[in-house]
Amino acid sequence: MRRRRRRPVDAVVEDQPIPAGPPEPGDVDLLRTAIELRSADPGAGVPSEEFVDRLRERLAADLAGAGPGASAADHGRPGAERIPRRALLAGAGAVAAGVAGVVLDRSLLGGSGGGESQAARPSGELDPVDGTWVAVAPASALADGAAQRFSTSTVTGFVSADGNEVRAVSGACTHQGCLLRLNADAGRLDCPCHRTAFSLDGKTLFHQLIAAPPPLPRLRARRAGDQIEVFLPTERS
Amino acid sequence: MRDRPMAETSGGEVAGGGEAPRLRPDLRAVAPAADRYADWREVYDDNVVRIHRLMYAKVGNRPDAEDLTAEVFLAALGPMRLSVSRGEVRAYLLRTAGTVLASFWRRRLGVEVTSIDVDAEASVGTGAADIAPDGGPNARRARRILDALPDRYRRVLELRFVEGRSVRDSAEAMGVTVANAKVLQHRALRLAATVPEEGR
Repeated sequence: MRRRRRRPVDAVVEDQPIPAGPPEPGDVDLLRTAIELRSADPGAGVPSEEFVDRLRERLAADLAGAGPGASAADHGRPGAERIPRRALLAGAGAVAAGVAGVVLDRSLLGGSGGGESQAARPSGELDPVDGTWVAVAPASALADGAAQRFSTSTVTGFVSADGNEVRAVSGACTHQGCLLRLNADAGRLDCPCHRTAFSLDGKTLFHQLIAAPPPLPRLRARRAGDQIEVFLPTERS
Repeated sequence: MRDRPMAETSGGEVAGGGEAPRLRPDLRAVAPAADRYADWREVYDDNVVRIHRLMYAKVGNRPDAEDLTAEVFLAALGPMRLSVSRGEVRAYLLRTAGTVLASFWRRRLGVEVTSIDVDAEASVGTGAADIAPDGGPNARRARRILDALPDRYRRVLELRFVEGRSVRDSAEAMGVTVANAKVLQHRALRLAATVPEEGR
């Protein structure tokens, strides 16, 4: 697997999601041209039947869960409202960013006034009264921009590297506590429950809730030798 | 909660705990039934191909196009009012698509690489059956770019972008090494990026 960031234009050539991150000089023109060329085949972009069917199902589950007109049949489908959209819509290898727009669209769609206007309040730092530095990952596992999940008996979280700095955030969504998943391609943490995502440093990136969930609590993190350590509540035996 | 546009269930009943829909003076008259979508499934079935093709033409890859298509419908269908005409629903989907795409670029690269011209797109049909034999304006633009290139450059781009062949396959088809095919593709794309828009 390649660790080096793929150029946007290469992603288009390979029919892969466009990687996140600021483009290099000249990238944008090449990318735009590559995108335009993709349409040269008159039948380009017709969706697969499989995708069309899966999205229809997803919408049925979504609309059933959202409105009072939900039908019993839709409610009765086991797990229908808990299927992560990405797992449903994309194959395991086709994970991409791109859920953007939901928050933005709420004003356009006549949503009930959530979104950006209710700016998320900071959740601050998770700083236990009785804490210990605990090694959670080898330093070698954290290339710049990479992240890794850790889990102890008290806290689940993610450590990531930003240049020389290491940071750690809680791994539980601040909406209802669902455990976040690392979306490595998009460099963010996705909530499997309600289409909410956070940046690796804990900021709320987007959501589809009435009010923006607060950012993720941060934890103290440091490099210690060849380990990444996080300051966590002391475990009781 | 603010007034939400009226939603209807797939059975055609009005959602909202059995309350009859109240007309609001600020809403337009209800469109005649023949010019309305019966339910969200009809909206979806009639528009999903078009929205997906549009997104594919704007991002150039299937995974992102699928995500963005899903996003448009997830965002638009819930609060959608079905008492308006089909044309208005389509226009609304297009506007949502434009917003979703703009937000995608802002987040993904911080630069709006492509955008949706809602007025121009509104004149294009909906389903797969409406695809013009020449593929419509996006395909024409692509064709024009390819036609402006020298043969070998055009060929490598056709193999890679139109036929979707791997770089190895393309190299073989052109009788060059893989490394040469990569260089050709890179140069061809650079040249293609300089082909001006029509009318410029």
